[in-house]
Order: sequence, then C-alpha cells, then structure tokens
Amino acid sequence: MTRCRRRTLVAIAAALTLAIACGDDGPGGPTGPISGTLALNLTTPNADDAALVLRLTGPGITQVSASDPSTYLYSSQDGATLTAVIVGDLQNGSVLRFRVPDVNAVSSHSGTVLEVADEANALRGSLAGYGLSVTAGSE
Amino acid sequence: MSGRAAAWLGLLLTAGTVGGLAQAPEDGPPTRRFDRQAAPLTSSALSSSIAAGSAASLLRPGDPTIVIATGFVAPCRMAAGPQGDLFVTDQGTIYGVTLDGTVSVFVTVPDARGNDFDAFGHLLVPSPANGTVYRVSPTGEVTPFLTVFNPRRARTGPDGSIWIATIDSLHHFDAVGRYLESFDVMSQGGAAFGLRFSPSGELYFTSWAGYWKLENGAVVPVLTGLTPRQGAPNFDELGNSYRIFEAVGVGDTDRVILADSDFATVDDTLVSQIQAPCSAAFARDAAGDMTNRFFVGQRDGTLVEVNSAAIAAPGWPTVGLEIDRLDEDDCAGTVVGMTGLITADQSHFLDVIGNNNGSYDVGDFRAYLIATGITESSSATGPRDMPPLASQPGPAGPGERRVRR
Repeated sequence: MTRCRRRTLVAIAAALTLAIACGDDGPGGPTGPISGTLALNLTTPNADDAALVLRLTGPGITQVSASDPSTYLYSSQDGATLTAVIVGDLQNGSVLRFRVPDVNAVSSHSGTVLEVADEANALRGSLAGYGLSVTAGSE
Repeated sequence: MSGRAAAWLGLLLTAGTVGGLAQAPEDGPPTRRFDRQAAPLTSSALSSSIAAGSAASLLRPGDPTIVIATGFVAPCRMAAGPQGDLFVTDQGTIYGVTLDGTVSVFVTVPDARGNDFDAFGHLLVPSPANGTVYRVSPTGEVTPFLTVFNPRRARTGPDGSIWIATIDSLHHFDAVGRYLESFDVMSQGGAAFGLRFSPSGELYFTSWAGYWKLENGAVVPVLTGLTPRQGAPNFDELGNSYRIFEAVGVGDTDRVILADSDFATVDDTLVSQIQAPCSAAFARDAAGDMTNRFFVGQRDGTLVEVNSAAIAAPGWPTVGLEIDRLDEDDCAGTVVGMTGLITADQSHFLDVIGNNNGSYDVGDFRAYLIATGITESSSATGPRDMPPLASQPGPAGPGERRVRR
C-alpha cells in the first residue's frame, strides 16, 4: 500500500468516526428522533369502570396494545387518529401502550375519553373527572 | 289405454321407483333410529292422481317424500335447531331429531306448544295449561320465562324481540323478556295461532283458515276464508311460502302448497306424498345455515322430508336474530364510530341486552362480549346464557385484541 493511499484511509476512518459520533446523541451533541413506546394513562373518579371508548391522536402511532393483557382491546385507526374500546377492570393508570417514531414528541400526542360504562353496563352520564395523559412507556 | 289405466300403471311404476330409494340405516349409536324409507303413497294422493288422469301427475315436484322418523304420536310442532337438529314437540315431550333420523328426548314441558329459539339459543316453549312460556337452555334446563295467558306460539323477530301468539292477541316482549306491547287481533277479525316473519320483516299470523299480517299495529288480511286446515307459511329466502294443508273436508287432499312472495299460488300441490300434515320446518345445517331441506310432521306419527328439488331456495330463518351470528368486529367497530357495519335491528338488540338506554354504546358492547363468552363476568355465565342485566354486574376477564385500519 502506498503512503498516499494510507492517508486516504485514515481520512475516511476519521470521517466515519465523526459521523457516528454525530448520530450518537452524545452529551452536547444534536438530538434526533428516537423511536419507542408511549403509554396512555387514564384518570378516573370512579372505581367501577368496566368499559371505555377513547380517542388518541398523534403522529406515527403503531403497535397499539392494552397495558393490562387481561383487558379486551379493539381499535380503529385513521391516519393520526386512533379510536379504541377497552373492556375490563379499568383503574387509574396506564391503559394503552403504543409505538411512535419519536418518544421525545410526547406532547404531540393526546387522548380523550369519549364513553365510559360501569360494571352494570350503564353509561356514565358525565365524564367530569376523566382524563387521559401520554407519558413515556417502558419497552 | 284409458287415462285411468295409464294412471294405475304409472302408480305401480312410481311405487317401484320409490321403493328403490329406501336407504339402509347409517352408522352411529342412536338413542332411537329409524330407517329412511319412501313414504307410502297416501289414499288422497292416489285419488288425486287418478282424477288427474295421467301418470305424470302421480309425482309432484316435492315427491317422493322420505320418511325420516316414525314412532311419534302427533309431532305437530317443529323448530330448526342452531346446529342442524330438528326439535319436534309431541304431546309435551320435545325430541331432538337429527336429519338422518336419530331421535332422542330433549325435555318435557307440560302442554308444550309452538316452540322456537330466541336470540340466545334458548328454546322458547309456550304452555297454555300453565299460562307460561318456558325457556329451555341448550343443556335442557327448563325455567319459566314469560307469564302469558294461553300462549300458543313463540317467535323471535329480526331485532331479537319475542312475539307470543295467544289466539286473540299478539304480545310483544323484548329480547330479555321485558313486556313491550300487545295487539288485540281478534277484534280486528284475525286469529293468532301461528307466527312467521317474512324475509321483508313482516309479521304474519295465522289460523287454520286465514293469514293476516300486522302493519303498524293494524291487522291486515292476506288470505282469509280458506278451507281448513291451513298451516303457517314457511318462507324461503326469496319470499316464496310453503304451507302444509291438512285435508279434513270431503274431497280435500293433504298437500304442500307453494305460493310466491305475494301469496299467489304457484303450485297448489307441490307435494302430494304426505298424510295429515300438522307441522313443517326448513332445517339448518351443522353450521347453522339454512338449507332447502323441508320436513313435515304428520298425525300418523311420522316425520318425512320433502324432495328438496322442489324447493326454490334455502329457507328463511324463523329466528330473526341470533347473537352468535353477529360479527364481533362489526359490533366493536360500530362502538368506536364506524358506520354501516350492523343493522338498526342489530343495534337495537345490542342496546336491549345492555343498558337499554335507546342507543348502542360501550356498555351494550360489554354486555355483548359477556353474553357471547368473549369476555367473562364474575358470575361465570356461559356464552349462551342470558347477558347480565343492569342489576347483574360483573368484571370483564381476558379478551381478544384487534386492530382495524
């Protein structure tokens, strides 16, 4: 190998190292999208919720699953809007998990409670006190 | 050869052909088994054939009929079960009859009359003697369900609601047995022994001599002043009706009459090889789908099957709505806002079995999941048990997870 060629290889290696460092989100470096899982958390004023319909909006929602695998989940998605029905023993806390392309964009996702029924199948006359929040979820 | 001689020759040839159709018993351990065999030509069929004066008239399109089972006394009520069996009522005993002729006792109900299934797969059995309509579970548990004076026939409508005929009136209950309304039909010139819903959803009620339908609470004559004994129409999915006629007058002949969807007679004798017919039903297959197999119960204690070549289309279900045949995804999709997946009747039914608040919502969907066994309730009810009413709560158990995009 000639000297000139060795210099070229060193330069390429340095460039690759720099490129990798730039994409590593290391301390002080620029921050890019990080795909991952978010959680949708229910706030309820009642202890006997048994079924709810909710709407979740946000970019890139995929792989929706029930946080509690013992609950029934059905969802329908139209672009950035997902509507789901969950049936089970519903308490305060995470009810859904979903994948997004950027977990740092939590604030761009939001949820709304549309209907709630109790354990007697009666529809809640008021949804006051109900809420949904999106937080980072564990993998 | 004279016409009369030709008719006799034809009869002999036909009898030989029919005799050759008799089949050997099939394998299996029946409680009671009867060979399928050609039904004997009746004297009435013979006389009508001779009167017609041609050999061709001996066999009608629905002939030859085949004997499926014998040994009954008067199998004069019959319903098609969800898994293909016929449920034949014979003097207070309801038998299960497989389509190959295996007969077994299902339950006994005092003074059992015109039974049919409800939306949950229970057999509803009116008992005039007790003024009660009993509900029989698929496992044979008999429980009082409705208190009605003189109930003669039960029928489940397209929305799962229950209609009871009591000769002078029609009584209407919702799918879980809550009373809704009554119609005095006798004061309007009608009589309600039998009940049928047509494919277009019209409710017909019948006596031995007339047919009427209920339109917005009013009794509308369809065919009246008929010669007794006319049976209730069994509709096929095209709206044609097949009704038995039991001859009780001089010169009458036992037969099955085919009429079109306007009740105009298409064939006055579609089937001739029957004798004192007193019940009839289209059968279902093992998957619950309607077939074009048409069975007739006779007062001589036999059950015969009509030649299905004469049946234009599969029968129309006598049970207007069955929860097991609702599509789970369609029910779920509707509750999250999708449209066009279920009918208004189905939506109404789901509301009735849920919170009954006038519209289909998530509480109703939960009731559906529990009633079908997709999710569990704390009372561990099975998929065919009644759904819990508002006073019977129960937490949900494991369920399925689906996504529709």
